[in-house]
Amino acid sequence: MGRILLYCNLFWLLFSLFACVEAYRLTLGKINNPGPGFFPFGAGLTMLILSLAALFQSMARKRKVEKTTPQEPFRWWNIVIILAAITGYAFSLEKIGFLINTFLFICLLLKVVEPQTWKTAIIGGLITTLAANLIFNVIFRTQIPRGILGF
Amino acid sequence: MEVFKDLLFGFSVVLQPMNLLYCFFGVLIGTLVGVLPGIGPAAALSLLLPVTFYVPPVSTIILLAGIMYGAMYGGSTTSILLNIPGEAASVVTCLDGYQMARKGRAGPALGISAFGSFIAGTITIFLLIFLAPPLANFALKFGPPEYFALMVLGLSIMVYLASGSIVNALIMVCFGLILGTIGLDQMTGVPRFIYKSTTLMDGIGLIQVVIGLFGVSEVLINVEKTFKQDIFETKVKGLLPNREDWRRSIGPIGRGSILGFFLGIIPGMSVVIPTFVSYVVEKKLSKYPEKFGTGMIEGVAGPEAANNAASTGTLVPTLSLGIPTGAATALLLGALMIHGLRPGPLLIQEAPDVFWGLVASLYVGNVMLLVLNLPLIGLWVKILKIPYHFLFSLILLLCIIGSYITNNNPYDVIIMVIFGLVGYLMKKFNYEAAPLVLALVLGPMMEKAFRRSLMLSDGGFAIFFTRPISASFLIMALLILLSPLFLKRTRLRENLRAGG
Repeated sequence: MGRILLYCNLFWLLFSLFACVEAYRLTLGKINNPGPGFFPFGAGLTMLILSLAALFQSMARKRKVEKTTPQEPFRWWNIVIILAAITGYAFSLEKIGFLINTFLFICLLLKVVEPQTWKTAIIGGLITTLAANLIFNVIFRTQIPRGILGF
Repeated sequence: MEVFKDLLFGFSVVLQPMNLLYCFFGVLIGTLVGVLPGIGPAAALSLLLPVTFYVPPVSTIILLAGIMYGAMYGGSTTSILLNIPGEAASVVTCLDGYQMARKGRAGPALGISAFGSFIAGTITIFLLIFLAPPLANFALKFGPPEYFALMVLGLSIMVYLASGSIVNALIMVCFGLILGTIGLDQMTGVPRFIYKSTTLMDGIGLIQVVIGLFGVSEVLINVEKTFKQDIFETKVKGLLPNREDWRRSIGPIGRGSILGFFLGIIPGMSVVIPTFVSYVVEKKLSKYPEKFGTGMIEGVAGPEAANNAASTGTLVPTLSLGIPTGAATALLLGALMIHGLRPGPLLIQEAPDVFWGLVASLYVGNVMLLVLNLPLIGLWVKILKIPYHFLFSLILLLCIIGSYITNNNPYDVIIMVIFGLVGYLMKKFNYEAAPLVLALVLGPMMEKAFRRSLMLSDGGFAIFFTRPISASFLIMALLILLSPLFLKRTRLRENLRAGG
C-alpha cells in the first residue's frame, strides 16, 4: 500500500503541475482584473503544495510489514469488460439503435461478467430491453436513437 | 400570517392531480433508490433529470425533491431488516435497528423510523417556511465576497468531515475546482482545457461525473470479487411502537429534528453527518450508553428523524441563497435553471408556485411515505433478493441512459466511463468523492464570486476580511481546517469521520 500511496501522490503532483502550466498559458490577467487562467492556476498551485506534502509524508512513512491474508481472486477482467461494453454501447448507439444495443449489452453482461446460462441471459436481455423501451421511449418519450430497426 | 397564506397556496399547487402523481412517483422512486445499495439519491436525480425536460417546472421540482427524501425512508428499511444501508445516511440505523430486528422487534423499529421521519418532516417544514424567506431577504445583502466566503466555509466543513486524510480531501477539492473550470470562461468566453472537444465546451457535466463516481464505480467495486448476497430472514409483525417505545423515542425525535435541520443548512454537511451527530448525542444523553448498539430504540428514532430533517434543511441554502449543499441539491438547482428559473434570494418572489409548491409537497410526500411504505416493506425486501447479476446490469443500463439523454451525445457516456474508473480507483486508494463533487458544483460560482470581488476591490484581497459577514465565514473555515493541528482527535470527530 505504501508504494501505491507514493504513486498516487506522484500522480497528483504531475497533474497539478500540468494544470498550472496549462492555466498559465491561458493568461493569468491582472490582480484587479483576473484572467481566465487565474483561478485554475491558484487551484493547481494549492494542489501542487498539498501533493508535495502528501508525497513527503508517504516517503517518510516507515514501511510496515503487512500480514498477508488469503484474498479472493481479483477479477480485473470484469472491470475491463464492463468499461469496454459501455464504450461500445455509446459509440454504436446511433448506428445500431437502442433496442438491439441494449439487448446485446445485457446479454453480454449476464453471460460474461457473472456467467449465466444462455437461456437466462437471453430472457434477461429481452425483458430488460422491452421494459427500458417502455419506460424511456414510450412513457418519457426521450430521444434515444432507434437505429436500424426504425422503431 | 402571510406565511400560512403562502403555504395554503403551496398546497393548492401540490394537490393538483398531476403534481400529486409526480410527488407519488418521486417518493416511490426515492424509496426504491434508498433500498438499492449503489445508487444514491444524487445518481437517481442525475438519471431522471433529463427526463424532466418535458415536465413543467413545479412538477419537476416536486418529483426530484420526492426522490431526495424518499431515499431516506428506503435506506432505513433495509438497514433495519437486512443490515444493508441502501443509503449512506442510514448507516447509523443499522447499529441499533438491525439488533432490534434480530430480537424480533423489527416492526417497532420500522414503525418508529417511519413515524420519526414523519414527525421530523412536519417540524422542519415549519422551520423551513419561517427561515427560508427571511434568509433570502438577508442574502440580498450578500455581495461576491460573502458568497465566496460562504462557499469556502462549506468546502472546509466537507474536508474536515471527509473520511481518511484531510490532505487527500483537500487534493480532491482542488481537483474538483480545476474540473469546474473546464469549458468556456463565464466572464471572458475564452475556452479552457477543452482541447478542441465540442463536448467539453459547456464544461464537464455534473450528471456524468456523479453517475460515474457513485453509480458505475460501485458496480466495478462489486464485480471485482465474487458478490455475496446474504439475506437475514426477519419476520415483521406489529409495526406500531408501544407506549414505552414512544416515551423513549419522542425526545430523540425532537432533538434529531432540530439538530438535523440546522446541520443540514450548512453547505458540506449533507444528510449523513447529522445522523451520526444525533446518534452520538443520544448516546451521551442516555442513562444506558453502554447498551447502544444492542437494539436501543433511541438509536433508531434520533438518527432517522435527523436524516429526514437534514434533507429538508439542505433546501434552505439551496432555495434562498442559490448555494447547493451537495450533489443532490446541485442537481435540484440545475433542474430549476433548465426551466429558466434563477435560484437565489429572488426565487421566492419570482416563482412562488415553485417554492411554496415544493414546501407543501414535502408534507404531502411525507404523508404518502408513511401510508405507502409500511405496507410495502415486504416488496422492498423482495427487490433486494433479486440476484446481483440482474441488478448491476440494470444499474449500468440506467447509468448509460442517464448520461446519454442529457445531450444525446455518446461522448457524455465516455465521460461517465472515465469518472467511473476514477471513482473506482478513488475508492481503492481511500480518496473520497464527496469533496470532489461539492467542489465541482461550487467551483464555477466560487470563481465568479472570487474574480468579481477582486475587481470590486481593485485587486485587494483585504475585501474578504474587511466585510464582517465574509470575514466571519473565512475565520470559521480557517479554524475548522486548522483545528486538527491543535485539538486532540475527539471521539465525536472520529465517529463523524468514520461515518462520513
